Amino acid sequence: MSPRRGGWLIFATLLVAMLASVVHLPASVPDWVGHLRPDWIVAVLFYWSFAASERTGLVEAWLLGFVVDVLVGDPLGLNGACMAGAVFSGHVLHERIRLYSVLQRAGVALGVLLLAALVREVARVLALGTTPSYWFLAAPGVTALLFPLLALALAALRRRFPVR
Amino acid sequence: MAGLCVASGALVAVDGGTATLKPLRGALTSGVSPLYYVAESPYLLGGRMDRLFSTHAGLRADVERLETELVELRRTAGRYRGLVAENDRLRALLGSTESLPEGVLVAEIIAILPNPARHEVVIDKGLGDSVSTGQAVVDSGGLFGQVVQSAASTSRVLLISDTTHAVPVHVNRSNLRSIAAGTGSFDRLMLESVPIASDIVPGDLLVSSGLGGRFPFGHPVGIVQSVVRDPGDDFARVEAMPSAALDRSRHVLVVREGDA
Repeated sequence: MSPRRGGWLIFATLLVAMLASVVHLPASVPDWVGHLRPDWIVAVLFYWSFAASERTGLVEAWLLGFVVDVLVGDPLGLNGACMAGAVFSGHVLHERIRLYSVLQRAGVALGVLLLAALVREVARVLALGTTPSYWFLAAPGVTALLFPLLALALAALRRRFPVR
Repeated sequence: MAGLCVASGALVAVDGGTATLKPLRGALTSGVSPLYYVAESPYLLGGRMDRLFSTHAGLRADVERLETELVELRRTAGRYRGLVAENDRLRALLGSTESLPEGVLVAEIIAILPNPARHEVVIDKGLGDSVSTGQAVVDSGGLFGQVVQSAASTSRVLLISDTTHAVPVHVNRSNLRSIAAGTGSFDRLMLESVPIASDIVPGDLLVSSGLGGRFPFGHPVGIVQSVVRDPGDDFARVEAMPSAALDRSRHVLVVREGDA
């Protein structure tokens, strides 16, 4: 068995997460719904960072952040820091998280997502001059609520296509 | 990890404050543009399906409506051409230069940035179609926004309703000058620094004044909705409704001054 099997699965799920992050809502949907859009990219990356910690790298995550930056129009380097941060937390905590219950995992994910959202909001206000608002707290909450489902789906994929 | 964070911080500061990283950003954008098309495909496909299943009667009705509209527009355009000629003659009499002719390029919106706090869209024309930063973008109703970054085949357009955007305008009726700032909501612009005794009433048309040199003169920007004059304030609170369909347009025009 090749030692590098299954890396494509991580990449494919991240690609889908990126698509889910840029699909725009129909014009009939009220504006505020957009604030509830889950942070799919950080959530998926965080899952892989503890579930397959030996297959995720800090520098890879950081570089992939550039793609996300141009995709969503953030200053270059911003999403790299958030994504590398998620991978770093996953690496540090992975032995513990693997023993955690579903709820505890969602709790840890909430922390990671909140931190990423805070960093993003501060950087956007400072670098782009956007008006600060508390809406940035909504997406991490929604994402953490969906995290158990996401983890379940990714775990199922992982059983079907082993990542090693 | 700390190293990556420091690198990110430095990059964000450089990218936020200077244009040094524009080439890198442009190259990356060209690389990710296919993702926009994939993300937009449900809507593009939806449009195709609509066309596939349209009925004969429906198409006939559409054609008739468009023909009436065309006749109407031809008439307006004819009058407009006469007025432009007359205006140029009068300007020549006064000794000022003729206004520059404008060329337009039709572009389609292929993505809307996912962050609702920012009003930006991506259009399907870029450097290859000589679209460059700073060009004004209009739709059939009026001023839409401006190009803030262009890659090989796509460009990002900042809408006039974004909170960081402002456009110099004047009131068509009274020639009062002001600045229309975006509010972050698609149906509202705020006029800045309008003295309380100014001649401005609801229903006034705001057009781009061309001051500042970024936007061409004379494109409709919005209609004044409300004017609140609080005697305790120095300035009136003026709200306007954008003329362009900022959240509904699918096709927009990039205005290129100087090539007709």
